[in-house]
Amino acid sequence: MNDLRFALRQIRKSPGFTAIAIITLALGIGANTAIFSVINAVLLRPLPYPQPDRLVLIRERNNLFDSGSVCLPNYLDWRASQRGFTDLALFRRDDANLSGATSDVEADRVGLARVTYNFLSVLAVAPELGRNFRESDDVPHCKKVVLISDGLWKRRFGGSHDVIGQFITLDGVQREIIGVVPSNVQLARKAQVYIPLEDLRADKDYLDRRNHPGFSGLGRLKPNVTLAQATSDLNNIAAELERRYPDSNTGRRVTALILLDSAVKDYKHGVTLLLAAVGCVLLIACANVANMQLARSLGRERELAVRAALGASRSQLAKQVFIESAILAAFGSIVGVLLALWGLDAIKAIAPGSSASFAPSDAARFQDANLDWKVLAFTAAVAVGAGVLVGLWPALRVSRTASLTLSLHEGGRGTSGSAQRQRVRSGLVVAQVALALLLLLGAGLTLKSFRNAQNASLGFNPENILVADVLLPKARYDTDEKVARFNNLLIERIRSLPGVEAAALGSNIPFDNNEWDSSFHLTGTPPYPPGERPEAEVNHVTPDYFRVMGMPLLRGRAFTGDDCAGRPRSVIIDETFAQRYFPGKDPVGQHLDDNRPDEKNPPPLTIVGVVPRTRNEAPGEDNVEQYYWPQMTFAAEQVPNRGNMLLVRVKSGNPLALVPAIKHELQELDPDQAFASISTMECNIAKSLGSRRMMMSLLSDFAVIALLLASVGLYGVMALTVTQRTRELGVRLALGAQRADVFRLVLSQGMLLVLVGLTIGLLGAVGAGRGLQSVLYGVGGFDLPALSFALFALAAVALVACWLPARRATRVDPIEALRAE
Amino acid sequence: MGTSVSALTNQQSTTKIMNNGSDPLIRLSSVTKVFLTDEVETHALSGIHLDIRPGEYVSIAGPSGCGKTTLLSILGLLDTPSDGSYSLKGHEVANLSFADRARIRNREIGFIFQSFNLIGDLTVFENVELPLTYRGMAASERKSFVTQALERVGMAHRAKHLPSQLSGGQQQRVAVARALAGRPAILLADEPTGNLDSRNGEAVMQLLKELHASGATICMVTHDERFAQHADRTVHLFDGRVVEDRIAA
Repeated sequence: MNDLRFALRQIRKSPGFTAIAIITLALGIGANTAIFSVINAVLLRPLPYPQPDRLVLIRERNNLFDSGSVCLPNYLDWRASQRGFTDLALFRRDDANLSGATSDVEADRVGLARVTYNFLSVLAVAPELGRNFRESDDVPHCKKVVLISDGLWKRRFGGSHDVIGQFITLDGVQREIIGVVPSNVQLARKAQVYIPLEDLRADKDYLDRRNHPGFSGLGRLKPNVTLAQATSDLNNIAAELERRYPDSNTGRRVTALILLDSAVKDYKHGVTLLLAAVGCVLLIACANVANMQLARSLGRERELAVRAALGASRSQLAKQVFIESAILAAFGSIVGVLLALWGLDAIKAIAPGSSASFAPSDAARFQDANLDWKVLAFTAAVAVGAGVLVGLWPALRVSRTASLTLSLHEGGRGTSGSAQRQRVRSGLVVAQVALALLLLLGAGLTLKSFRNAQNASLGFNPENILVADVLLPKARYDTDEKVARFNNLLIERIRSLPGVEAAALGSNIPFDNNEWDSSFHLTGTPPYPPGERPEAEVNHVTPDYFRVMGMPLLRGRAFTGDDCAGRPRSVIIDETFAQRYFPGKDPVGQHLDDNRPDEKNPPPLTIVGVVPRTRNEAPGEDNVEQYYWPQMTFAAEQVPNRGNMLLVRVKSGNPLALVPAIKHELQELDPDQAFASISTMECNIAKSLGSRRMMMSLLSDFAVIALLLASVGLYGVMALTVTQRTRELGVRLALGAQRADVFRLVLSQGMLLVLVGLTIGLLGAVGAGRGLQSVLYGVGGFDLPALSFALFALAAVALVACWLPARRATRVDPIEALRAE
Repeated sequence: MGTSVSALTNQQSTTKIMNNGSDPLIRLSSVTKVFLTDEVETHALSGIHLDIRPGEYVSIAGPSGCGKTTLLSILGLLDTPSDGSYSLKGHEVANLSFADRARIRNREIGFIFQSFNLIGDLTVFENVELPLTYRGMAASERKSFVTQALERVGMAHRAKHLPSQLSGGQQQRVAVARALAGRPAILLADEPTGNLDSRNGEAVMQLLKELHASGATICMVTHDERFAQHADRTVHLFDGRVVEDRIAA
């Protein structure tokens, strides 16, 4: 109790030290806990399925790309012949128009998962209400059924158990609700309705091996079968399929990843970098705490020696010091928890997938991050441990006889032990400066990278464009004529709205999170060997598309009303296509053969125009952009699509102000239709940079924290140095030194530490730059401007931290200084 | 070692024993202390023989650097001799572990320092109580011992004050009370008047005299001949050796 009382007294006596120690601990603990919690949620926490490490995501690959969608016939052959999995399922994420859930609710777009009947069985998840799909639910022309998600069940049906047997209409097709999928099922991006493949199994487009309509395979490894073994088995089957179907399957193999690995691979490197960054913050915080304890220990050395002289044992001395450190640790941890909670919310707010951020919603694991108490305990142990260990040092050291007697008697100050302590403190400050430089450099590089990504050329004008997703159900729009008629009427109605400059449809527009590519052949050239046909991104657009997008025509013409069904098919290519396949000549008038499985020897397409290349996804990310495929655009009238993005360029103002009006027009045209993903082009572009923005924001925050902590540490060392050298400075002044001389002396000592720290930091910057390279765009790992900024910023702050104690040193009164002792 | 330590801690009071040939409380035999710093050997003490009997008042005098403080440190078990033996109450204590020396120091030795060495954040009462807390004494018993010690030095009325609120003389009185509180076998005083003016110095010396008269064994280091004469016996050191061991007239 005495020790506790004394410790509280000590803490109250030094409010400044106490506040800085608590804040330092809190920053180190809070920041680390927040990030570790995110890492745990995103990278480490197992998926919520039984034996999740046995679940495998299967995709196809070829010589052009590492991960492509699976075609239905290939899947069927794999499933029939494979030996490594207990079963294989297939799934795809779509959208659907939901209507009829209740009579007074208007049509709504919902996330739809198209799955094989065994999807939930492979996941080893049973519906929480009702029953699972049976094989008989997944055959052509069967009775239409649907599983709904837990969220939809609660939202639309109030969680009522009467939902089983009720009917909903999806894309104009009435389906019976047979079960409710539990909320832990996150595959297919948290779809709200699940329907089997059914009629797709008999659809000739889906049965064409050349068609890869966005499916992924899902398998559960058999016991004692490794991923490598199962993948090898599938690749053997793929090789056999290549032999049998060379035209479609040449070069096609399988890529398989454990499901968790596939979910996190896009974030793994970035999150790991953040972990390294926050580790630096923790080290800096530990160094600060250690430094402060060392400073305190200097003042307590005599006190501890007196206690030892009075008979205190080493453990009694240690206990007293420990209690004080423990109290500081407790307060620091409490504030750290609050910071961790706040930090976690802040990370989630800027992480991809949040409502406040601008990124695709496929990073749900970010949003599921919660405060991890194990992590909190770990980081608290590290930060507190550093402080406690250093604080215990003088208590343990006092048992050395030399220090004990010297501390007690006159003239015991200024010993070699004190000098050693000063060296340790200086070393800690140097380390802090070096680490702070690394973080500042990282922040500068990611900031520059983000700016580069933001300013990357788009090839079109994104301003004032509203975008909205329209999907026509096949059940009611089962012919090209019906689709084309609807699309034309929609455009006509939208175009006539006040404030609308132009309106168009596109099937694969920039930043719509959609990928659509197709192979082609230059007419008149020798056929390509199987598996080596070039690919291009394809888009199907209405005539005003280029006008809406603000894309100039580089050569030729845009589509017109003459580019319609029954007329010779036209195509507009981008400048990349022209340069690559028609170098030095005018491509307008040239011909292409596309991939038309429904026709034998279809007539070639005529190139009628050339437009600039558009950027369709965020630069530098692991997406289709990395392949730099050329682009082909077809006339929508000649190749009508039921799924399109509506684009509306407004004359002025916020495009979103048009939303009620366009919704009204759509409802007038077809009450069962609903728009989805209503946004602006600028917003979609900003969302695509969500990951970069998060990295930049977090690294900047950590850099600021590191800078703050390092400057506090440096200030502390310098202030103590001035105090310790008061007598010496008094002697110098008495001997005739000017105050400016004293100022320079102290300042130069501090800046020497900074210089050493910066030098060491520069060496580390080489390695840090390499580590960051994979997440940077348009900037190298060792960028001189970014490095200069980091050096300047750190040096400036360090100068201020040294200037204050140096100024105090000039105010030493020689008489007082020489009288002291 | 455990047995010898507990045997030493049984004594509860000191009694004045005249120098009549009784066993010495402290016996140093051929004690030598050599300090090694940067490959330089400093012989602080060389072949010291010294006996202190219960109830004696011994002063150790000598010029600056003669080894007085080193000798006192060895006597107080703050330091260990490089050679020779040190027996306290008949038990060899020269090379005990730090923990054992701390235990003996706590129970058998009371320190009075030149610079008082009171702990600034503790009250007078708490300062005097401090050594008693290290021996695990119950709170009520500690209170009794502390009160007696403070009354003995005339500082009971300032029990709740902090050292910064006391004069130098008063602080040294509190330091004496702290040394007395645990009823040690011997009081060791290192220049107890060094930081005091002559009036306060005399007051402290008078206090030590009174303690000696009531039976305390005292060993005091001083460079001031006036105060050295207060003791029964003066041991003069020079260059680490005993050059004179004289009983006061």
